[in-house]
Amino acid sequence: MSTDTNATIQANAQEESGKKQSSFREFLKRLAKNKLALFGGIVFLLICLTAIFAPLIAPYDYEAMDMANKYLSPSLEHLFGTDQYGRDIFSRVIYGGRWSLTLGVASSIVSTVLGIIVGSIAGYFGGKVDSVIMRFIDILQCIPGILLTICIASVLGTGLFNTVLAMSFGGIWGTARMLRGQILTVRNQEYVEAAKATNVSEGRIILKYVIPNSIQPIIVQACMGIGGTIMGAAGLSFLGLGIQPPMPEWGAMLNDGRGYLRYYPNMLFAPMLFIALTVMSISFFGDGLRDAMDPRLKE
Amino acid sequence: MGRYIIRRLLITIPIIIAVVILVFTLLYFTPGDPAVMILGNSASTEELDAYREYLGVDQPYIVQLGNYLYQLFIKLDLGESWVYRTNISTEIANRMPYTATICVFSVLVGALIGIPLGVTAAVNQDGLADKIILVLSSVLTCIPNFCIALFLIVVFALNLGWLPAYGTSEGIRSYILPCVSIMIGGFSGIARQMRSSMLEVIRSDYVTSARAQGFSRNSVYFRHALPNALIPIITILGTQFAAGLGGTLILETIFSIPGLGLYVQGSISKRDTPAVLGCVVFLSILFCLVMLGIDLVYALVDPRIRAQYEEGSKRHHRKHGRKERAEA
Repeated sequence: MSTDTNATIQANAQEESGKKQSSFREFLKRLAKNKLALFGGIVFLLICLTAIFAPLIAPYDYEAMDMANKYLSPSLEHLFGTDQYGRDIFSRVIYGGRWSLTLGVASSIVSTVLGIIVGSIAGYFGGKVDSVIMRFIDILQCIPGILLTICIASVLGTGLFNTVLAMSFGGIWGTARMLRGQILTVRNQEYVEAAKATNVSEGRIILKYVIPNSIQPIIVQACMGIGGTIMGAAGLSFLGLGIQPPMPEWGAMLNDGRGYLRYYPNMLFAPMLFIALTVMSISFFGDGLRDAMDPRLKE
Repeated sequence: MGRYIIRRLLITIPIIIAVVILVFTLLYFTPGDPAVMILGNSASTEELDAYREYLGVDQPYIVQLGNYLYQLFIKLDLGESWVYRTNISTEIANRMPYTATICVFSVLVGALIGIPLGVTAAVNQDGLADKIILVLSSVLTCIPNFCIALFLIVVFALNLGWLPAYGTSEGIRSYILPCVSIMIGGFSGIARQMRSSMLEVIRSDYVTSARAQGFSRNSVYFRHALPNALIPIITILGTQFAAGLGGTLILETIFSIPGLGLYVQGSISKRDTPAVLGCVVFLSILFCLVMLGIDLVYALVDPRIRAQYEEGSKRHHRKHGRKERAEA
């Protein structure tokens, strides 16, 4: 009898994985059909690649000062001109991607992972643990997000690691609340009941059945969150609370160039362009991802 | 309904107290000794000790927290700034009008522009207008408001010279650029939400059946669908308010507007903890109350929520009745 059930379960699992692959392929197909999403994905990939291979692409060192060539206007030699120390803005923006993108991606990953942990603890234990966590989230959501981030950033201090922490703290709770809601709905589904009936442990049910089935909206949210965090981190650096000026983070570059607004506004153009382009490409890609994952939108 | 309002108000009180405790605890860990920060490195140990005692920071955490809660909730006072020795409540009262003006105007004007755009897009789904509005709003939401502000300053203040680049000396003209910078992000967000909310309602069965009964397209869309599609927008206004507040705080540094944002930032850089704490507590309470107001309006407008609550209170009565019976 038991070997029989095992065999059926295995067969089911095989069928499942086959189906999963085909549904994943279908998902990719639908994503590829969405031109805007594809475009967003490619642009984002390109920006990431330029940041990763910055030493190969950037024509100058991002710290190299050249006092003879200050405040140059854009030219072929200096694509976006030079700043008040004669540093090449194009090179700085490309290197700056390393900080800005790391901030955005790392904060999103940290907050999503922590959110999943908190959300599954709340959803799994239920009862008192759940209500304590949910009340705590209610309290946090009463503090305007940017204010909370500014406070945490001022307590932790500046620097990449601290800024990632400050940025991710605000994002944990939305994810946690979402996953908890998902867990509560998925929990009562028949396949979870079936798993319980076959004596699968509660923790395994959460890990193997509940989370995979409720993760999609969370992935989409995390992906869209990268754009928001890049904007937020740039804002934080702009206020002088994130990455500090000698580093070419985009927000810090804007803060740096702010004083020269009147006579050399072209110093601000490149960081603005890169922030907007990055956030836009992520948002288009995220929108496409959401549509491709949403089974209701299947033709 | 009255019961609902009272219950919501009662829930808000412990939440506000918890917010205060949380923010106090967070800022308690701000690095740096305030006495050294204010008196400078040259001060002697006795002076520093005396000053710490004067500020009350030599007390243990729990005493400091107790003092602050007593001061805030019993005396209704936010205390004194460490650096300027001024009363923080007065300071906030003086600065709030600037922040509030920008925040409220930009959210309201954003809604007034965003809602019609969203409706237009939804009604002409997949048409030219829809595509233009969709692309425009997706692009505009992706530009941080401080970038928009810098861009507007370069174009309208420095190059064209139409509007002042900073300060509040020119009355209403000084507020145009900050408001527009925040509004641009706001209205595109609202337009996107309005579009999807309207589309959802248009696709629902009652709209189809109204159309089948021969009502004209416009009358069904605007008299039957629109009021229902507007309901979710009420919630969005809450988030927009928070975003607007955050945006205002950042933009005040760019436009040198002496509002709360400039105060918070100045206080953070001077390690003036009570001032930071006061602002955060004040804004959080304000935000709580705005969210409460939005929830109440939501309940007032949406009969489904009202019904849910009325059902709840009926159940409550029944439970009580049973208890009374059991006691008897």
